[in-house]
Amino acid sequence: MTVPCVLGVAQFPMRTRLPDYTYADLLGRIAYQAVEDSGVDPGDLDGLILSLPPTTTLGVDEAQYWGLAHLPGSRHVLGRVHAAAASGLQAFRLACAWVSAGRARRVLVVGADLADEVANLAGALGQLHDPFTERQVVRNAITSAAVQASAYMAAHKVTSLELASVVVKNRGNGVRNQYAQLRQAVTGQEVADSPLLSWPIRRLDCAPRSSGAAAILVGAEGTGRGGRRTVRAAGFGAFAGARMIGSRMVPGAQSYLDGADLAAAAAQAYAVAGIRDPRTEIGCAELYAAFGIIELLSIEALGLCPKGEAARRIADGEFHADAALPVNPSGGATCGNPLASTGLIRVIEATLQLWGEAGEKQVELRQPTVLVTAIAGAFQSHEVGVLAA
Amino acid sequence: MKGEVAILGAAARVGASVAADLESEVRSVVLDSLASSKLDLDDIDAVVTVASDTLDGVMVPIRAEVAGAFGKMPLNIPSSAGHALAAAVVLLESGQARHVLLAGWGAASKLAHHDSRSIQADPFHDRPAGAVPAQVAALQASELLDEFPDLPPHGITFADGAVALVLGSSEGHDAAVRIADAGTSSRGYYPEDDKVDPLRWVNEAMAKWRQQPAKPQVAVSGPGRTAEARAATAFTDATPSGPALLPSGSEAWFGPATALFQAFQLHQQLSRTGGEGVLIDMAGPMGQHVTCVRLAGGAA
Repeated sequence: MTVPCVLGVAQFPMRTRLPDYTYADLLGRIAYQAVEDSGVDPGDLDGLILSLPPTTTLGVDEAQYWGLAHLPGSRHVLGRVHAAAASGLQAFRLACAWVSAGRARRVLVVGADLADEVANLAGALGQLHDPFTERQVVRNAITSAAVQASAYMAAHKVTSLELASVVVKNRGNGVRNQYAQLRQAVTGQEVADSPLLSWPIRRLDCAPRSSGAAAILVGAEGTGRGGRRTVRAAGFGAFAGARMIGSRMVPGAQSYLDGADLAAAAAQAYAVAGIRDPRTEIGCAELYAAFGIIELLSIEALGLCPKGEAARRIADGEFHADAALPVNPSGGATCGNPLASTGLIRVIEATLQLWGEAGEKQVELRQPTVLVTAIAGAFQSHEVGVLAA
Repeated sequence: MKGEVAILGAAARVGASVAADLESEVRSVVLDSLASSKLDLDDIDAVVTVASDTLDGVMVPIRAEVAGAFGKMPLNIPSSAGHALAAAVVLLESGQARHVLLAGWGAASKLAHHDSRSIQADPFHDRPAGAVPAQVAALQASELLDEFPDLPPHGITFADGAVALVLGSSEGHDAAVRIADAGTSSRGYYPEDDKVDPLRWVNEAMAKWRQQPAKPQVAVSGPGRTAEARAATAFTDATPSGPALLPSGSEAWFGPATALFQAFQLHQQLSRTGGEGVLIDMAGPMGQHVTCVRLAGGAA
């Protein structure tokens, strides 16, 4: 079976608004940049996959018809993948399957967002929840994170400042990321003093609303340009969660609060990649977290530290860029979160670290293995990938 | 994976209006397809969905639970049934899954409230100028009928429907319908060919097939009867009135998942008769996104 590898990558600087580009412009620019980065002839692609979450509410829809013309590989579109903010990683997994199955040598995955083209994201995010029950009780991404954060703080005696340590770490990392939307460091006190949205979630706890674009060319080993370390997709895992978050809150099944679903997805990925002890075998992690609490729950569910310890460990310097196991050295979604691209950006940042091409954000990898995650919905469905050089 | 990918079980419900109870229909076809495959939901590793979430107000990947996806490896491909079927095949061949449940549904009875196809055209230039699916499909049919007057007139009938297929290795399943070949071809909203002829796109999609089928059963799903009939002429035995052509997608169109019903029909037919079949899925107002799948009934 063919081992799928990352041949080329490209990402666009994330911004609140990108008024100088149409959606098709963004797709075209980023697609050709990724192919150029790979050294592959644009005419030598076998397929194209579009990462595009929901849609009318983001100002675009069904872009597989009007946004892909003339893109490399667009004469053989292999599908549009829509899994909310997990679309990018799910699309990357599908591209790897095409290559691994031997049905394609090279597949381009591309995604773009112009989130500023609609008044707000409430319509799109509202689609995450049941319209007849959960939406009536102001169930949204922020209130969901608030439930998780308050439960976490109570269960593990974590203070607001300790909770803020994730955002402080990521915003500090984002200063070194030329693609980040937010490039100013913040203090824990600034996070704690920022406007309250839904206790204990404050404005600076949240990922910004972002426009951006990203593309990855996936192919069989040896089908890209030479001179780079081979970055393999070593394993994937995924877990589709429940539609109604409350349906999983019965005693003994608190995956929404303890990350059991993510742990199940990770176990799958680790088994395929041959990872037994993630704490020592993972060199770095790029985890999708639109809120600080999600990163804490993810670090623990992925087995990178014991339950309830992530916040204090981050406050003590663990998981920082200069630590043994850096988490989100790019700043993560805290510093920019374009929904269609964010899963691809996690893979791109992981690949750049493995190639040694991450520039100012480059960290020292004790192991040539990087973990990536993405989440569809409010901690509802999980994608986990392991990349290895 | 040992053996070839095969459809191990299938079920479908298609009717004039089942939208009021669409979730029950989805659950029913999932359970029926599992029963016909003699597998249990616990045997399923991955669930692939194909549906348009603009019709129901809740994101399909989030509601995939109704299709039995909870705890499984999910993949949501709303662009077309053909794309989703091909994805299910590569998930199996790549080893990401051993058994895949492929479920698709749609409710064209809701089109009066919001026609999701209206947003397939460029929003900045084309939609304001009246680029809507019915007009675009009619222009294509007009061009085809000018050149090939024996083709049937354009037309499409809307329906609601839900379909589920169970896919896995053919090994140990002698009666399974194997997926022998698959290929895609695509164009943008404006195909930029000298003619908007779906036969050309079908031939492109089949160009890399390992083998051409002999006298296949053919099932086509496209934007209308004219385009479907033209696509089917890729197989000389499949004339619009010929016995080899199964009921088409335009006879009961329920969104991007429609061609799964044609796959279901081919599965039923080839399970009984053996032989070969071809599924042609043409998604889009002119059928711009083509997936062609060669199926084979009976033991390999």
